Amino acid sequence: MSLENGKISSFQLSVLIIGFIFGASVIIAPGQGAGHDAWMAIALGLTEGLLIAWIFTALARHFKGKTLVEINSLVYGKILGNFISVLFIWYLFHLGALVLNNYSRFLELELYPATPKTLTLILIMLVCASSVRRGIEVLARCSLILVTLTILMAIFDTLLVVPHMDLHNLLPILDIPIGKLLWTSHATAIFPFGDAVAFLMVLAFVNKPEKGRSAVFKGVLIAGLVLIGVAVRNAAVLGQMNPIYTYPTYITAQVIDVGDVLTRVEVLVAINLITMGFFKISVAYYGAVLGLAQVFNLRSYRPIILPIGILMVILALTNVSNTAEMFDFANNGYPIYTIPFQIAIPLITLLVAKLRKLPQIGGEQA
Amino acid sequence: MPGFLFKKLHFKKILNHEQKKSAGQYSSSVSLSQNLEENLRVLREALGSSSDVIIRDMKISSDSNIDAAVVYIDGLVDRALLNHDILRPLMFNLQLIKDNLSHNHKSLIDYIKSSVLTVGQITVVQDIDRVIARVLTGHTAILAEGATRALLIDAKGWETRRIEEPKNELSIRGSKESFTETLRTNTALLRRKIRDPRLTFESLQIGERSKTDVSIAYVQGITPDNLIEEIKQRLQRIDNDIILDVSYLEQFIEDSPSSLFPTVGSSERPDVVAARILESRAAILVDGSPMALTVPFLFIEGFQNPDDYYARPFFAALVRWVRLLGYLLSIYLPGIFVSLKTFHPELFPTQLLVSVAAAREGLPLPVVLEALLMLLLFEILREAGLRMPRSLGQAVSIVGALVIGQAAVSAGLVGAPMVIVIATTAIASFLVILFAEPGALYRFIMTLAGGLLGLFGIVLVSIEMLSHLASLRSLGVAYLSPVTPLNIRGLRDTFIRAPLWAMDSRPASLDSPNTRRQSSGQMPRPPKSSSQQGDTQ
Repeated sequence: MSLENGKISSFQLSVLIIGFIFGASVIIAPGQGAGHDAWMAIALGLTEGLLIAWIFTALARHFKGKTLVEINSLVYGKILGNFISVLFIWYLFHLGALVLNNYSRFLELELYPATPKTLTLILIMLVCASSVRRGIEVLARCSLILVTLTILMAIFDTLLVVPHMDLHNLLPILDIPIGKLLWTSHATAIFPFGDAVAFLMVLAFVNKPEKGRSAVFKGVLIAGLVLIGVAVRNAAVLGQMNPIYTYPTYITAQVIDVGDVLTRVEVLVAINLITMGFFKISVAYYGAVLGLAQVFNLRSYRPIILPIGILMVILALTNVSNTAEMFDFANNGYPIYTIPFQIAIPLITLLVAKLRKLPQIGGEQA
Repeated sequence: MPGFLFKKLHFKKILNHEQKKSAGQYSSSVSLSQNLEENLRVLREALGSSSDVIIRDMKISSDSNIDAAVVYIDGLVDRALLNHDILRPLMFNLQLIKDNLSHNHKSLIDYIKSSVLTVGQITVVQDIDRVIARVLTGHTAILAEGATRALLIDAKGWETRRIEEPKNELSIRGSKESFTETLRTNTALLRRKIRDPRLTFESLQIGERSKTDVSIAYVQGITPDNLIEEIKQRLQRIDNDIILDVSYLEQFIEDSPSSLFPTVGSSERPDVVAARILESRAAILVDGSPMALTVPFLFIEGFQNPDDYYARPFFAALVRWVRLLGYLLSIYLPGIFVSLKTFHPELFPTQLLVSVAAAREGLPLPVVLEALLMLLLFEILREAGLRMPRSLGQAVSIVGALVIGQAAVSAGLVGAPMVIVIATTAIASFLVILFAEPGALYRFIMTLAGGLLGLFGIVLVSIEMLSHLASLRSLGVAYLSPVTPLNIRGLRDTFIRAPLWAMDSRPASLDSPNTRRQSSGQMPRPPKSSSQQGDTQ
């Protein structure tokens, strides 16, 4: 009995991870705390993010074809294992709700001030739910097309703002205290790169498990390089104003003006962000639903998709009361809050598994 | 939710199945008796008192002492053939033979078959059921007193349509023939294109009452065996009264009946079907339908056209892009216009915004309703133009162009930009005929979403549409392949059309056991010296 029959290739996994990492980072620009040195914070964060990826892919390599929930119950036994799994599922659920919240806030602030947030949240949730229902294969297939489009649009945007760029805006390098830089880069490592730990629920379905790690690395690396490029562009275009803006990528696109015909294309950035957010929410949503179904030994994860989605919308509506709080949490709270989930759970599970010499060769019965 | 309903229906169908099987079948497997009268009585009972059933009594053999009968259905047999090559030899030539063979009833039938009749295809049968069944398909039966076997002669011949030019899938340089309603003609058209001995037509009959002949065409060793098995299984599951058209089968065998998009391809052109068969697909032909189904069907096939392969590659690629763009326009244009006008006016260039705003001055309806109304009008016009008797065509074009277009604008009911948008959409919707139906539905949905939620709504519907397309399969092949899941080699025939000499392999997503189409490196390299002669003289 398997809850998910689909298989994805390692290439699809990389693309899905790129989409996942782009997810909310178009809204909450990573490394924003470092001002015009954001690119450096992202580069440092990318290194740490790869380290996190190294840990959780090591765990996935150790238990090929198993999701984190299955690994936990193997390593810690049924009761403790399921308890830890539920903690991790909470993280995924909360992650989905946070991204949903980011989105509805962005839409309310920049595009649809009069549309009730609940409506946008429910609609995004419904679209994600119907894709989660179709399984990981379909998500992976969509990611190829949408990520390609997004990257093309990012390149397009960048080419159009070249006349407005002033690379002197990047000087002086290392303008901020080293402590702040390190903190910002840690925040960047956790969000967006470290969130890829959600793929512990997906890595089991890669058709060649031995290629899983390199696929994750490729995905994280490409996404990181694109984000560095975006950060450099934003800083070069916006200059001193950069740290003031809530959504620098969006503002950068507003600068575009080609012969008075192509102006104000920032709504295209908003489109990018809706499509990429779709992946981040869907993967987290998928992981939460699949994990819960595995914890409770359900025959299918489909019946709990909608209930979990409704709960996610409710959490998204209630847990952050305003945009300033959202950013405060993203920059100061989130980097600490997620350490147990992104680093501790995979690392400790891996160590315990090594100590208990799991999985036993030949004697492994699930 | 629709899927659930369909499952329910399917369950009901299985329940009905048993009841239906037991009723309405004539007596099973009765052998022919020695008594001719008895045989004819059974035949009359089975075939009823129809006026088109002809039972011709006669006396044959040299001394005219053996009763025999020829049974056929008038209109289904070739009369000239019947008179010259069946009746005449039976009644005339047989009497010239002066040996005593005729008294030996056992071999009389064999003798007639081997030495009397001058027609090609003759079979000997013993069951009266088979006689009935074959007579109904147009065969001619010969029964004789004292013989427990009957001869079935294939002397079919009825009025048919000639092979004509394709009406719907036009091509500039391609062949000008299309399928007809006769299955044999259609298989012959394919056979003439593919003279490979392994080209196979597997026949079966579907339809409880209609007994329609269905043929599965494929090339052994190129089309995967499991595909053929799957098609046969799906076809055999069909339990229907009548198969009137190939689209009946389509609706019974498609993978996702609740989808807006077709997952079974169809074509009226033999060259297209032949090409698809050699791409390791299988074709399904139905007697009485001038279309052939091809499976598996991929999304990208909707954007391919025979002329792409006959034209030069660069132009073919351009046309592909035009088609893709046109299709996207036909879905998105009204929705985007509405959402820009309602939610994102800053995206219009300033001059355009001014003129659009001026044109909308004093219009009674909000822009969404206006768009929906115009789309509805367009659909009405299209449907009317399609179904109406041809002699009325003038009226529709006058009413459509003048009243709905110009008069509506000058009366201040509809803005001129909206008319332009809808007209562009309408023209664009004819570029990809195969997906015109889902396109029309999505056009309405996008317009509504754009009007209610702006670009955000359109993006959400698009994601849902993409995810739906990505979840579709056609006979186990992912609908969006080779684009996603990505297959680099397969991309040679998608957004570009590689030169024919570069397409060495069959589409990889179809999983053919024989992937090599041709040897590689066939790019023409004319010898360099050839130009010297022309220049020096």
